[in-house]
Amino acid sequence: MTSYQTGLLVILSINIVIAYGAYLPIAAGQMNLGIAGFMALGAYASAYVANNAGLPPIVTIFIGAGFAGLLALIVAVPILRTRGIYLALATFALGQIVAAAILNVELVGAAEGYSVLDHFGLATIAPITIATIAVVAYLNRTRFGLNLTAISQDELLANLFGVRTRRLQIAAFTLGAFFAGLGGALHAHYYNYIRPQDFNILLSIYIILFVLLGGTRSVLGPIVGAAIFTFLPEIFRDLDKKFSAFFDQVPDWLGQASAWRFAIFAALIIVFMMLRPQGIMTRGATRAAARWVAWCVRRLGFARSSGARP
Amino acid sequence: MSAVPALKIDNIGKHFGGVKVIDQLSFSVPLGARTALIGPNGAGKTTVFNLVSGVYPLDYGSIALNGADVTHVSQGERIKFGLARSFQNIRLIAHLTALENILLGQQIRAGGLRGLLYPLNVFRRNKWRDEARAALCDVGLEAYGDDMVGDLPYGVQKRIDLVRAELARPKLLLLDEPAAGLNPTETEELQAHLEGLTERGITLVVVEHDMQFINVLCEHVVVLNFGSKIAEGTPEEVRNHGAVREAYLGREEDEEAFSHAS
Ligand SMILES: Nc1ncnc2c1ncn2[C@@H]1O[C@H](COP(=O)(O)OP(=O)(O)OP(=O)(O)O)[C@@H](O)[C@H]1O
Ligand SMILES: [Mg+2]
Repeated sequence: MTSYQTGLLVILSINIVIAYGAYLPIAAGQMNLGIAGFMALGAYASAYVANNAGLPPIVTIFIGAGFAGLLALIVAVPILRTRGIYLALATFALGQIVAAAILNVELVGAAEGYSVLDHFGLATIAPITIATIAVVAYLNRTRFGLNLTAISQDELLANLFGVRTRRLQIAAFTLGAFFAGLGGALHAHYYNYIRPQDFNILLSIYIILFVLLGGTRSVLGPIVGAAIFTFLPEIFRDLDKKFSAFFDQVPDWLGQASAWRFAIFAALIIVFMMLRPQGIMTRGATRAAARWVAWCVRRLGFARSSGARP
Repeated sequence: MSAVPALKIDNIGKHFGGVKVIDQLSFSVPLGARTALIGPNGAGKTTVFNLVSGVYPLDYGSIALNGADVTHVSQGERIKFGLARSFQNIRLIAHLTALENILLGQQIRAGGLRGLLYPLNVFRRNKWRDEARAALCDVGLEAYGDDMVGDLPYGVQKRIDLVRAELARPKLLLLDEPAAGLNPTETEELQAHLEGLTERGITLVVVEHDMQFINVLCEHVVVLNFGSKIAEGTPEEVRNHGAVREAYLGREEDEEAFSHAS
């Protein structure tokens, strides 16, 4: 693997973890637009502990994640009283507050940014991503997951059947913030340098898009969404070289041809959303994928065993 | 000494805006019986269910389940007093399968955090899923277990809605127009099924417009009009009650239903 490819896989791994941070509250019918803020909390807390406490790096990232989760738990009680667009705005404001606060904390470099001494590569990050996927996949197969879906669809009904709707929403929000913080901590330990503006609202919006595009009802949704957002812009990067005959035709007044890849990318997202508003990985699509994988495995196994026959 | 009623509604009232929808209403539901709650459209039958299940708070009055005052118990807690209900407009979770919708009915019995994190869909056998499947089998729906519930026919959804409420193992079950939209065969099956519930000790309150259905099924009838009780008694007594005939007067279908029934 080239270092470019390894780097892309690392970014994908981190993006997946963060995507689950948005996925969990969305599964409970809540939009958290402050994901980048929780990432920042995880990133800075883990970096500070890593630089100062002399703990093993793997411990520090979980301290960072825990810190983000704890803060989420504290703010969840007042903030989750708001609903719908108001909740989105409240969480957006929260993200802004976190970024603004960090800008003023000299302890972690304020506007200058902050260096992180420990470094993680793909070998450390990928297993953490896989563990995160496993945790969410497991939760989806419990009453916790079932109840989140019920709450997002019909909160009153869920409540009448004895589902503790508020508690579960707080739990989903908190656990989501934990994953966002974990992703932020991984980000800090991969790039080794973090600045407040790395965790801006645009990032929060992208992460929400990961989940909405990938699918909100399947553990595979955030993976597919994160993969699309990680790889598509890269594929386009090569496209304008490959199709230079075409891109060279772009008239001067339209500016740099390569800059248009983001516009094309954005247009594709809109088309995707129009064609499949429920996201790419619906429950049905997930089942079909599982059947297909099972079929492939069976075919492979069969081919191997029949090949081994004398 | 008279037995404690399964449900005691004591002088309750509710208004929406300037409209008194429920007005000084009192009645009791005897334990172990099948009670019908009837009345013309807009009489307030569904609102009574909403008040009993805590969807809306009362303006005044009190509600007791099995002798326990639940007036100030929140909607999420009333199920602990052995109350479950179905809905006039079926309320299933469209994005879950039939089986998963039924699993939701067991929530109250699943227990706290452990029940919440207990794997439902990891191992091949699981007591909750086995129970839910068995309940689906009982009503002839085993084939639909893994289908998304939103895609299923109306009659099937109706049965799933009922089974889900039953799996809460309620002592008192409120059914809002369970026979609406069912064909005659399905209606007969429903009748037999509801009689089976009584045998299992579940007290039923049924809101229904089909008087034939009520006459066969229920021994006790409460008649509402404009949010107040206008009559109460056996189907026979209620049928011959002057105020009831008056309330239904001019509604030809209902008149017809009455005369057919008598
Ligand atoms: N949430 C609400 N807000 C305002 N008005 C309401 C509300 N719920 C019910 N009503 C009104 O209360 C009255 C009684 O409604 P309810 O649904 O209880 O009648 P019903 O007896 O169940 O009628 P139907 O046989 O048509 O189901 C109606 O006039 C209805 O418009
Ligand atoms: Mg009604």
